[in-house]
Amino acid sequence: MELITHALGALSPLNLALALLGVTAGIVIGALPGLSATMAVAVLVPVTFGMAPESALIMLGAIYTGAIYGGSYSAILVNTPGTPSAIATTFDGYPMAQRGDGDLAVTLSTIASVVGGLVGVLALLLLAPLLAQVALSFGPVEYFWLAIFGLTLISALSEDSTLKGFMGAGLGLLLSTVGVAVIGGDIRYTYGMPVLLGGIETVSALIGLYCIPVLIDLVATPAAHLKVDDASRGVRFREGLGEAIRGKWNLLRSATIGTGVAILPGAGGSIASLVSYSEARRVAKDPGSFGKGNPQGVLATESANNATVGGGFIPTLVLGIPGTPPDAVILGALLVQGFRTGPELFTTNAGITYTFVAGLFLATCLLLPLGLLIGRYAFKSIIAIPKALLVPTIAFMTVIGTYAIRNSASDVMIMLCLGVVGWVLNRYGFRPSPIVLGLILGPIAEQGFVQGFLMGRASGSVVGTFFGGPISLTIIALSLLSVFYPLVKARRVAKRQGNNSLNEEVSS
Amino acid sequence: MTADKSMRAVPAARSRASEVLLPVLFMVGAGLCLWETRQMSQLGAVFPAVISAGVMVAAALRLAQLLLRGVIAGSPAGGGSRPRRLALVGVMSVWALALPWLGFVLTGLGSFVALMAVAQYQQWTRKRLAGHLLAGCLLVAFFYVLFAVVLNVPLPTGRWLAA
Repeated sequence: MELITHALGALSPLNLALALLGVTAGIVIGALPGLSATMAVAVLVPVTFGMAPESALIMLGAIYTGAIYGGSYSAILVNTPGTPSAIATTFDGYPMAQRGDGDLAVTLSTIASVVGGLVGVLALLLLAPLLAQVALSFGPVEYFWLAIFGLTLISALSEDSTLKGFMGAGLGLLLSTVGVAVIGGDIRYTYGMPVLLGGIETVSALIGLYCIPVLIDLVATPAAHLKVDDASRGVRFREGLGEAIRGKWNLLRSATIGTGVAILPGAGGSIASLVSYSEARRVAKDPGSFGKGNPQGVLATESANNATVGGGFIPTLVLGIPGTPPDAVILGALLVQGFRTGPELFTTNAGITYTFVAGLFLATCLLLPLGLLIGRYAFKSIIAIPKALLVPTIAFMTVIGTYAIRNSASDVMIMLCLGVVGWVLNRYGFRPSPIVLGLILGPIAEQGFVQGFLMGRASGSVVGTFFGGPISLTIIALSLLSVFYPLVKARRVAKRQGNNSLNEEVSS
Repeated sequence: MTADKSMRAVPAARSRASEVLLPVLFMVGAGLCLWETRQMSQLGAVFPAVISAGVMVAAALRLAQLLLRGVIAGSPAGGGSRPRRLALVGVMSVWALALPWLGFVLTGLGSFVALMAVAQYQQWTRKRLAGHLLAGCLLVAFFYVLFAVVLNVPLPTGRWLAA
């Protein structure tokens, strides 16, 4: 009863208006490459300081929800993830757009984001204290293995060669070590250039590696950017809903994975969407169609990354440990509002907490109409813009988006250089995703690795530290499974095909 | 036996030579990174050293795979206009280099027009040119307002113009 009273608090006209405004602003900011969900929340935090605490939190949650979803637009329509969480959405979203199904892909992403978001919010509401305990059992070594698990997943997903994926991931990890070391403070691989002291900015690298190759290929031919059908097909909601119902288990499984991964601080939406994508492909009857525009791939990644919104709030609210970077910003806003995180948020301050959860629920529901509406216009705009305007517009967004992160023109040059390197590597079968993920997970992996190394040295057994714990061993087993399972499966299929053709030859 | 080997051969993304060359480059690059770790403290060196070694092992395994299974040449270097590709990279490089000196508005407008020319395949008509230029001006103005006014990002005004 108390819960319902608090939930109704979120339905005040002011809170509704703030949620609407927050979701819209989040979608627009998230859709622009370079403006991440973290940035969207960070730049709008000061706006909320004058508001009542529950209204401020509702608006911040709505911005975050909208931004995570908005990242899928640019992933689908220009092959550039608007936020790192949307990296895996490019795998099937962009091929769908290229074959003329970009409108359907955007609709699927909307439906999946709503389902994933709702699952995450429900978990936050019902399981928060219980799930938060799981996060506490992860130490530095477990985080190191978790980062490696993310990298093995993406490498195994590399369509050409797993080894190329590993080399790309290694390159990303090495790029993440440029600048001042996370532990120890060494200055590494800067070659005397002060611009490299701050390291390679992840979002700049993401923009360069995904966006510049698209631009380089866009100008090379007069062909249209995306295939366009003459007849208008609207948002194709019924078709999208049918696909979502067919993939209901995929949606729910991905949302559960997204929630589970998000409760581990620092793991975030990029790992969540990759794990769920990999799972969707593993259990699919036609795994070969993934990466070539399979709608189930879009459903899996978008469901998982929006589930991280609710999931990430679990350790943030219960333990005061932010699950994802935007959660860290929201945690700061909470502290400014005078809240202390911990169990008392669900007892003494339950009113505000439950109103916030209800606000998140509301914002997720608002994604459906707003997402379909904005998505339709985004799709129509992208296909209607002539190439001579589209190229400078995307280039403009890459330059200003990169510059705005650290107010640095050098970052723009680094972004461009990485883009050209990415284009060359792409031509030779090295996909950008392992490189970018290596760069994102590098600091987490290094911190876990070096701390584990120090702990191991202190206890007299480095090997025992890294391979001793049950959680570490489970993650290692999962990593090995993700690498070797596709190989074993492919060999089995090839053997079966060989046997079939032999039988056919014998019978004929 | 030969048929079996050709069935298992690794398809190259482009040419056979490039398929071998890239793992070699990765190996050399990772080797250099490993070499540089000698100048770092133990804490700073341990992670890049392990990763460099890992990349070298992956590259060596790739080379062994290519050697044992053979390579089938992939599609030749893709079509498309090389001068336009180079022009795009050139314009964007000049843009990035000129940004602190000429400022956001001037470089933005100049690069927009230059990239418009690079990406245009149809004949320019007066109407089309005017429409595109207007769109470019509006876009630069929109982003200027969004970043400089709404988001409070200090966009460069240009050292030469300020002097």
